[in-house]
Amino acid sequence: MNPLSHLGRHLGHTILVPYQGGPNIQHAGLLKHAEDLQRELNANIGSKISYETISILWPGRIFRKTVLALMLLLWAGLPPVQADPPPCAEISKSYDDKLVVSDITGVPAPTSGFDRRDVKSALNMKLEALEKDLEDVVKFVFCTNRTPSGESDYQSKLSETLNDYNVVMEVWGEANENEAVISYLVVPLRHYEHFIGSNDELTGFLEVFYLRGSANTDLAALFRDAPEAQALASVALGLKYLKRASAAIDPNQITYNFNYAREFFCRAVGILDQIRPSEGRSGLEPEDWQRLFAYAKASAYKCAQLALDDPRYFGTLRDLDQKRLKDCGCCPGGE
Amino acid sequence: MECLKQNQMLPLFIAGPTFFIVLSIMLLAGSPTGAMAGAMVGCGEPFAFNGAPVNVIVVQYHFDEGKEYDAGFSDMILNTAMRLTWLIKLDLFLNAQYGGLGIVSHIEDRRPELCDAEEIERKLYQGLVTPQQGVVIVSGRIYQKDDDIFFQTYAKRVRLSKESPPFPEIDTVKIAVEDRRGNTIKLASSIPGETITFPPRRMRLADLKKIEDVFAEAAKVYSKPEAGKVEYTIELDPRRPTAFSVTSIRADGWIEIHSFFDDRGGWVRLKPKDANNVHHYLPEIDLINGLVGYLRLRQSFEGGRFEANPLPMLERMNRSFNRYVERGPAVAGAQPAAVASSLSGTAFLLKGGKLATQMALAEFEKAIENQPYNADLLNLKAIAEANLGFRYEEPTTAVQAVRTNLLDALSLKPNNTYTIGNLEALYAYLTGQPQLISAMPDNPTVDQLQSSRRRLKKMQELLQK
Repeated sequence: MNPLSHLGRHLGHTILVPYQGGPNIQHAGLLKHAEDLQRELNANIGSKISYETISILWPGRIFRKTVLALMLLLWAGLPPVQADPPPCAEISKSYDDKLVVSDITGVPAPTSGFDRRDVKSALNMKLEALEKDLEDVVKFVFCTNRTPSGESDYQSKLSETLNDYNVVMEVWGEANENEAVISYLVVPLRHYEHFIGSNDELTGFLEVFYLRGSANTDLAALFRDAPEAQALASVALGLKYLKRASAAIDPNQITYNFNYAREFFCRAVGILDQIRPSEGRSGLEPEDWQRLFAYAKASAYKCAQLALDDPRYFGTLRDLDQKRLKDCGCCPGGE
Repeated sequence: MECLKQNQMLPLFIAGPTFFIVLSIMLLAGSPTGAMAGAMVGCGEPFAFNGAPVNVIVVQYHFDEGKEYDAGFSDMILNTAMRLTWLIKLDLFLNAQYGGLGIVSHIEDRRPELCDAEEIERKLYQGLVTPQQGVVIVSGRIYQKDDDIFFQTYAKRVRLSKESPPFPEIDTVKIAVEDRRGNTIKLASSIPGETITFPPRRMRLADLKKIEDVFAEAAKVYSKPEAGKVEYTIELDPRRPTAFSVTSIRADGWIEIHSFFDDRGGWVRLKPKDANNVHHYLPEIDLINGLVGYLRLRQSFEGGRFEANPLPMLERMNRSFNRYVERGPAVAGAQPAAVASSLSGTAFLLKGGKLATQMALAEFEKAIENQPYNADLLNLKAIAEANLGFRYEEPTTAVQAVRTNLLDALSLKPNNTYTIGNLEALYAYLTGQPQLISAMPDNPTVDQLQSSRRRLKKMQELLQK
C-alpha cells in the first residue's frame, strides 16, 4: 500500500473544515468555500495578516466574525492589496494540494553536452517516482508554456498566490551544452519562512546542477536515483499541514493535521537521511541539504511541541517520550 | 485458417474483442491453474488470464517522443521496449514456478501512448480479472541518447478481493497471537510498497545489441528442444495478438509452448548464459519473480480457489527476493530492497511456527536497515516480536521490544490506524498481567495504560470517520 494512501482516502472524499459544523467531517466542497472566504479576506486585508492568523488570535467564533467585519469596513476605503494572479491557468482550476511542473528550456539538441530532452526525460523519471509516492496526496499540474527564470520571479505576492492555491512545489529545468539544472521552488517555505518569517537562509528555492567536467560529469548523474523531489515535497506538505493545524478550531482537525504535519516532516528527515551528500547520492548542495535536514528535524519536533501545548490536541503524540518526539522515532532498530 | 498455419498469430479479422471472447472461453474450459500461459496483446485492448492464480502484466516501457526529436531514436527504443517484454516473459516462465502463472505482454508500435499502465490496470478491473487473483503490473520508462540508454522500472502488486466483481485490496497482515496462558492479542499491519520504483539503470548501445541478439535467439521456435530447423519466429505485432500455453519447462532453458488457436507447438529457449545477461541488465526480474511467489503464498495461506502447498513456494520466493537484495543498495535501491525483505518476512510470519517467526523477524530487521524511517516496517517488526515472545519465548522480555517498535512507528506516523490499534491491543493485553507491566523500564501504572487506551480509541474513532 502506498504509505500515504490512508491520508489520500480521507482527502479524496472528506476533509475536515473549520467553522462548517463543528467536529463533523465535511465534504471537500465546503473546504473550497472556506478557502474562498480565506482568500477573499487575505486579498482585502493584505499579505501579512491572514485569516489563519486571525483565527489563532481570536478563537471565539462570534467575536472573530465581528472583528473581521470591522476590519473589512476599516479597509473598505483603501485600495485593495492585490495578490498576483496565478502564473498559469491550470493552477487556478482547483484548490487541491498540487505540484506544478513547468517547462524545460534550453538548447534542443546540441552536438554534445546536455539538451532539453535529457533534462525532460530525467525529470520525468524523478517525478514519476514522486507521483507514485504521493499520488493520493498531491495533484500534478503541467504548465507547459511557463518558464520561470529563477528565484527572483517569486516575490512575496506571487509566493502568496501560489500558496493560496495550495501549490506545494514548482519544478522546472534548463539545459545547455555545459550544464543541466533542475530547479525547485518549495512554495510554503518561500511564503511562510522566507517572506513572513524573514528567514534568508530558507529561501525555498533550490537548484540541482549537473555540470560537464565536474563530479557530476555525465548523463548518468542526471538520471541517478536521488529522491530530493520527495524530500522537498514532504517538507512543503509538512509545513502546509502544520499551518492548517495551527489555524484549525475543531479538536479533530487539530489532531488530524498536527499528526500529518509530523508524518511529512519525519518523512523528509528519513529521505534526507538516506541521501546525505557525503554518500554521493544527493543532488542537493551540501549547504542546502544541511539546512533542509536541520529544518525538517526541528519542524518535526516543533510540530509535536505545538500539538502537545494545545489542550485540544488529543492525538498519539501524547504517548511519546521527548527523545522519540525529537528524533522522529528513537534509535532505528530498537533501543 | 491458412494464416494460422503459417504462424502462431491470430488473423487480423478475429483480433480485437473477438480475441478475448475466444480466449476466455478456452481458458474457462481448461483453466491454467497450476499451469502457465502467455499472451501478447495491443495496449489498447488489455487482457489477463482469468483462470490463472497470478497474472504478470508487462506493459511496454514508455519513452519520451516528440516532433522535435529524431524519429530514429523512437524506433530503436520502441523495438527494445517490445523485445524486453518477451525476454521478461521467458525468464519468468523459467524461474517463477509457483504453480500457475499467466504473463501478458502489452505492446504498441503506432500509438505507444496507449501503453499507459494505470489505464490498462483500470480496464483489467472491468471484468478481465476474477476474485482472489493476484496481479503484478510491470511498466517503466526508457530513454536513449547517443551511447546511453536509461530506463526505470515500476512494479505494482495487487491482491484481488473474494467478491465478484473483485476489487484491489489493501495488502495487510492480521495475526492473532495466543500466549501460553491462553490470552490472545490481535495485531495487524499494512504491507509497504504496493508500487515499487526501481532505481534508474543505464545501459550502453553495446548492451542493447546484446539484448537484440538474445531476443533474436529467444524468439526462434523449434520443433524439438534442440537447435535445429527453426519452425517460425515470434513476431511482436500488436495488431496480431497471440496466446499460448506453456506445457513443459526444462532446466536448460527450453520452454515448450502451444498456441491456443491451432494445434501447433514448439520449443523456445532462453539459454542460461542469456538469462544471466537479462538478469544483469534487469535485476528487477528477481524481485518480480518474488512478487509472484508472494501473491501465490497469500492465496495458499488464505485458502480458496487458488490454494496450493505453500512450502516449496516459500523457499523459492525467499531465494528470489534474497538474490535481488544481495545485489547491494546501489543496485537494489532502498525501497525495493525493503519491500523484498518485508514481503519475505510477512510470508514467514503467516507460515507460523517459532523458526519461521524468527526468520520473519530477521527479514523485517533487514528491511528496516534499508528504510529505518518506515513506520509500517516497525509495526511489522513489533508483530513478529509479539508472536515470537508471547507465543514461543519469554513475554516479559518481549513486551518492551514490542512497545518500543510500536511507539517508534507512531512517532513517525501518528495517524497510522494499524499501529494505533496494535498499541491499544497491547495495552489491553497488559492490563490483566501486572508481571508484564512491571517488566517495562518505565513501569507504568494500570491507570496510565487505561488512559492511553482511551486516547488511542478516540484516535481510532477519528480515523474511522
